[in-house]
Amino acid sequence: MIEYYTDVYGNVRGKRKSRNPLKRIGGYFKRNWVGLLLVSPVLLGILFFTLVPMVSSLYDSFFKYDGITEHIWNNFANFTRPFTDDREEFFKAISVTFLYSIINIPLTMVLGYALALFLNQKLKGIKIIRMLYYLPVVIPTVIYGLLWRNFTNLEYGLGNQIITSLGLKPFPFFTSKNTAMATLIFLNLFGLGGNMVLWIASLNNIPKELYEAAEIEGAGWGTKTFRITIPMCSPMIFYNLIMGIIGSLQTFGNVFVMTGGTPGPKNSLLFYVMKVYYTAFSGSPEIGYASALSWILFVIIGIFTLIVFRTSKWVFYGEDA
Amino acid sequence: MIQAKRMISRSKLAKRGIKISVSYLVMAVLLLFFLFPFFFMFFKSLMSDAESYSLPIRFIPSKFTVTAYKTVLDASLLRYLGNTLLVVGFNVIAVPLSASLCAYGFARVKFEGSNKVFGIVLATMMLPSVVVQIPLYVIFNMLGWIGTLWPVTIPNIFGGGAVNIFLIMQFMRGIPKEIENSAKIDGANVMGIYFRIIMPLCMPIVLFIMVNTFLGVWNDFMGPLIYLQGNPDWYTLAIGVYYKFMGGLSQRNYPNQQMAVGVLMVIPPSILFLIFQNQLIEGVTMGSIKG
Amino acid sequence: MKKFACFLIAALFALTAFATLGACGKTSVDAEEIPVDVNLDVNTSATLKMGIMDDASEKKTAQAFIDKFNETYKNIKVEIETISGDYMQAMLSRIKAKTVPDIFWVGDNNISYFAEKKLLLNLDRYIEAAQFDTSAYYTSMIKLGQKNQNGSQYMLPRDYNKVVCMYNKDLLEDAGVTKDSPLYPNDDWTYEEFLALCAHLRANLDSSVYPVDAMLAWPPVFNSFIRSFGGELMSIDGKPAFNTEEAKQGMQVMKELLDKRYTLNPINKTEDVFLAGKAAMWFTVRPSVSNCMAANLNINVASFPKVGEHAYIGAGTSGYGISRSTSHPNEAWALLSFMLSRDGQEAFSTTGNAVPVLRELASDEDAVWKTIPDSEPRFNHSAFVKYDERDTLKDYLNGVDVELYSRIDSAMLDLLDRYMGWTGSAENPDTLLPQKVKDINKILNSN
Repeated sequence: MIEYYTDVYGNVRGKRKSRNPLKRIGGYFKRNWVGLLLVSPVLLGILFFTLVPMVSSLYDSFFKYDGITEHIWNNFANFTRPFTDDREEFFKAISVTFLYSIINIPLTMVLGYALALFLNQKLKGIKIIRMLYYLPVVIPTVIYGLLWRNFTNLEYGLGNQIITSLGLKPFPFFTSKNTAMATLIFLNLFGLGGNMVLWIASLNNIPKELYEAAEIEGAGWGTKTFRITIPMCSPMIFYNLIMGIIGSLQTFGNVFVMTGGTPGPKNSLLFYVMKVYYTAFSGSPEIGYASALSWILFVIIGIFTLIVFRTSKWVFYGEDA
Repeated sequence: MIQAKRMISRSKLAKRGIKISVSYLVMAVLLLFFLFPFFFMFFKSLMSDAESYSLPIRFIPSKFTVTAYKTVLDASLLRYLGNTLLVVGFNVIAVPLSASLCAYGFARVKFEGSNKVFGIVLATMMLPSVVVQIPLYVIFNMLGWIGTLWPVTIPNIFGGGAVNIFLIMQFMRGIPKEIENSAKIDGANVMGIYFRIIMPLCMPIVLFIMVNTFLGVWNDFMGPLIYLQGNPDWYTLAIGVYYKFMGGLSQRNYPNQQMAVGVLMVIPPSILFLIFQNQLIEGVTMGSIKG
Repeated sequence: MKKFACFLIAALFALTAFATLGACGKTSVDAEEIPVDVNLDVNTSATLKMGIMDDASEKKTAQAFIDKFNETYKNIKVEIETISGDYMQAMLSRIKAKTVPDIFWVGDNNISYFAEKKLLLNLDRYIEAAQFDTSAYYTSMIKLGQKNQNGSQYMLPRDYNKVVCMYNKDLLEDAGVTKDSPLYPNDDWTYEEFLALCAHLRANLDSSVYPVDAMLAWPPVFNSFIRSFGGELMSIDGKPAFNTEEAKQGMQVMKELLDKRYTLNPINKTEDVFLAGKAAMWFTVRPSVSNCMAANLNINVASFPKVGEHAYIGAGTSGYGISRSTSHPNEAWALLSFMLSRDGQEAFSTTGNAVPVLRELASDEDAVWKTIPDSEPRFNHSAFVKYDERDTLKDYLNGVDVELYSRIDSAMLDLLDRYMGWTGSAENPDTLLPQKVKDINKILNSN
């Protein structure tokens, strides 16, 4: 049996495979030690600081466990419970999280793109303007939460002062289940600056010759956008999509701060991770169930990411790829 | 003829002028939108204690005062700043260095099964952090790290985060193999190639990661909250400020002081962004375009 | 590749095993098995860890306790450890890491849970051995330190917090209510008198100012309203009991406060409404006084009005308990009982922000806590300690399995929300109450 491998210098080599497993493992390390050595920090780091906690939480997820007394085997009840007696809250959390993701990911992507297109002009002072647009991104989360809680206060907030002075009825913001989500998504728009930077970067990297060539052939704005800009930016779209999925499905901190630690009226802002948090750290903690919920989310995110990776043929990685 | 040409260019100029002024106008309107939270914060920080929590909430102070800044700026704040700079300084070096080394291993040197191992590395980003916090606390406690700066620094030596490795890998793929090969012919070893060729070429993305690390560490709240607990000597700004001006149970928290802290904390990252804007914008690009 | 994966997984499991072993390596101590010694030699030397909330004034009071304690026990070193962030999360981390402080702060909400989970040491043996006189303290507060408010003692309370009606004298004056007016708040007022004042204030104050911030979503308030009419939320054996005329009456009375715009919608959750001078009265507890002083409000307090037939008043506390895993329970008891002594209570009340739980000190006219706010010589301090026989506690969880505490708690808030229409329109009680009974029974049966 011949095993082929690529050596340190990228040459393909063949080697007879040994039958002794110890020798085979030894051989593996002999062949690959340089690469393994280089990535060893991340492997060790992940082992210590991620995988050990992950395995520990996986273990907890199979038991009735409160974090204090011993683990009690409960026949996979933590994994059936979301679909039986906790069905209502579980699916509420799933639907809140998905609704948010489905609106938020495309919205920030499209608006971030539009903003980048607009700010990619060569004008005087454009750098300062970009910085100012970026400013809300660097406001510390805690302060950000306080600020918007202050602003959206139903009766005394500035938001409703402005709205009522225009002769409109006061807007309930975070105090009604119908408007809480819309308010959250709207307030997210202040963070578009971060997205914008990534887009400007992508736009700048498209070779000017492509547009010139297209113009000579009489291509209009639409053709240029859909035939050049978007395909050339596809790696960025891809990156944004992956990060968006991972980030949106794990939404927690910013909402937690803005709602003052509550899941919103009638659970209208009960994000999945928030449910995990309440399950794990309430007055009667259920670490086992919280761990199971996290692993369910882990699988959901994994599936979506995998789907996106598998269907990523549309991503254009340059000519040589 | 010449007259006509001039006319055209003039009308073209005028058209361009209109376009520019419209652009500026739209920018100004959008600027109002984006700067709103900042101004809200800024004006609130200039209110007196009593006015800052008066109802209905005011936007512009009736009288500008800097009392909030005077209260906020004290010795302990400087101490927190010092700690934060320590953590930031460490991470800004450690994260890109470690991440680029690992990325080099995954993307260029490669080993059997490197893609699969990288898949595992990426997958670790997907588990919500809430649930690993307690086991992590236990590990750090076993190491005797609780209440010290180690938990917010040392783990970053180990790879510097999957996202950063991913970004650098994408970038490295765009570096032509020939450069590396010619160095090999000259007899350079792996580390030599990394430090002399790969690293300098990766500077744009490394700079991007440095700035991002700075922002992340500067505002990190959850990490210090859990791991530095009970040891104010090592509090970073985000957490120190939180306890001082927001978390108090018994004393009153004044919005003007809270916002003054916010304004002060926004300054360094904004300056950084302004200075490194060009590099930031170039950095991300190449990484993802040339896959 | 396969081998590598195998290696990785093997290494991982080895490591996890190592980590778990490491954590379990320390043999756990059960303080129940350590003999009780309440006459500790003053020269005993030990190091105690004391867990307190992460807050500047908490640290100050704790240090004051400790300094005073060290005057007697010179060789017992007490190290302060702050519990920061989410209390439960911080405690769970410590439990897992086996670093629970020997003696720690605990709120009345957590007692039964921590007792059930064998986290807190049963203090009965110590109380008996030391002949510790619990009758010197407010009975209701002592009860709050017991499992299910009616069992063994697990925590000793440090302060006495009862709901009072704080009022803004300037706002009352604006509405023409002066000291000699029959409408003026007083310690013996009935609920009708309170409503009459609300009505008067509503009519005579600016519409943006509320007569009262009644804190309707706060258990000490809503529970006492319902109890006062003879109703209850959950029966003593842990069954939903709010589908009765009495309980409905209590909820209805609260709903009317809201409907008539006497109080603001609790969803607003601005603790600042009273402090900003946008509410003339406020149902609150002693620790808010210092905030009002900082806000330069001209305030005074009156007792909570007499609601319904029982006229209950909500009360609560927090205090300290001893960890069951401590190896120094006797030293910890020495510290704990010292905190409850006159010296300890005096040290504690120097902040002026709390009413001591020791009766003789609470009623002492010259006690330190009565000097705050010092600007007001005729401040009605007695409202904070008057009518202790009318105290009612947050008692609706006593019959419930501890595992279900937080779920029942949020179900109660949901019930009140839908009854009074905090976050939507109010629902019809005739359909709402039976449905909530069903919901809660479902939660109860799920365990």
